[in-house]
Amino acid sequence: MVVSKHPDDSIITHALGSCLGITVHDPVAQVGGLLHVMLPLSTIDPAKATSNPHMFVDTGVPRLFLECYKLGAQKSRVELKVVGGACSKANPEDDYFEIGKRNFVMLRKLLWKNGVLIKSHDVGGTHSRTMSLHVGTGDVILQINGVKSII
Amino acid sequence: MALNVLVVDDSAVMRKMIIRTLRLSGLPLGDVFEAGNGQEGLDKLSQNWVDLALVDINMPVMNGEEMIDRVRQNPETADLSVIVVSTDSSETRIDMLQKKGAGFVHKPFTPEGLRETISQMTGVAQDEQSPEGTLPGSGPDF
Amino acid sequence: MSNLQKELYRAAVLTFEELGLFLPSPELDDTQRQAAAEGTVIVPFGGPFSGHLVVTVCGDVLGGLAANMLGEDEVTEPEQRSDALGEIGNVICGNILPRIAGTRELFNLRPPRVMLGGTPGTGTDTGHPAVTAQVGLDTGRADLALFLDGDAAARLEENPR
Repeated sequence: MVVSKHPDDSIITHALGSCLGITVHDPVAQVGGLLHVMLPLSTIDPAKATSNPHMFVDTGVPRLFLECYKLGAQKSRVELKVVGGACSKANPEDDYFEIGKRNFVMLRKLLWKNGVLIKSHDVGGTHSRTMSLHVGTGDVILQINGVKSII
Repeated sequence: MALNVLVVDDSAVMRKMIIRTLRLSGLPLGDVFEAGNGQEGLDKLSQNWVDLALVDINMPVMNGEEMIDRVRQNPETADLSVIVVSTDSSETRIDMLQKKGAGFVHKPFTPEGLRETISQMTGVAQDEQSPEGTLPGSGPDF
Repeated sequence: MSNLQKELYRAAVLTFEELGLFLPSPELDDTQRQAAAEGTVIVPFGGPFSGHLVVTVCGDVLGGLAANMLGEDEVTEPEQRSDALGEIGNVICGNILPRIAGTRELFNLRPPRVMLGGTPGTGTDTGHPAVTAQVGLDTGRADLALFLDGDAAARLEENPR
């Protein structure tokens, strides 16, 4: 997880498969953060959850918000974008563990409970993604198979 | 312009979910009215100014389709913006509802999907900086 | 797994994920398998064919289900738990019918009847369900049974959509 209040910074994460890349951005405070989570629930491995809470949706996402608040972001202004959550098999029927889908369901649950809607997302499918957040503008650049787009 | 909204669904939990989405969506929200069936919905419409109605289809006493028919027949409510929020996704039903000038959101819906349809139907964009764009969470997460 | 069973399972998973914000599992562990019934919903429907869907939730699931739907930590009121289960049944039923009958067919769902407590998978049914499915939910599960009147089940299995 990386947070920043430097408008010229870009924060990037690569190779998002079933993992989720989650950005929060406050356009007024020009504060942004990016979190790369791997699994939905920390209860699966409490030791890991203690040593690296950013691995899990349920422990990582609150930290992302709280760290951005420390830099001046306000919840009422924060915009959240999500990328990743791909299926790990070419045929979704073969994806027994459905980690990508479960990550996104867990994120939805957490956001709904905490009263935050998703600004935009590119989730699911079978492809690997790279995403970057420009802290000054809040633009998220998504890259799939070398093709870039802004979400 | 603040939108007065009527939510018609026989499930109180579903009404709360829809209203929570409305409050989170950043749309300029005025009064929010609730009704448990089509007849109650018509009663609310006769007593209050409403800009947008979100209506379920399968309800006791009077279903959503009949309610919409009556809304369209009444000159005072004929132009009301109506979005059907229903588990019924039959193409035949959606065609019929579109002919009645209603939008459609399929259950289960995501809050973002409902917000998008409301924006399209009303032409009212969400206010990106609205302090009502978030609600205090019930838990201590963030 | 028959086509009808697959579609029932998929409709249930979709509903529990998107509406209930649960993480459903296809296989059950011992705790889930032995969980006692917490509530049952019956959703009757009519249309090109008629029948009803029965969903029984077992284990300590309903409080979490209602809480997730409402975005709250906990829901203790029986009315809200009952209402949440009713809506889950309604949405599963509304989603299974076009999957098995085709998207142009018109069905009318009647209001869900909810009973808290009870015995898994019974409700008020006579006869055998056309298809059943189970979904693991946290420490509990949901048992689903779709009853179809007449020879609808045989016709749908012969001519899957």
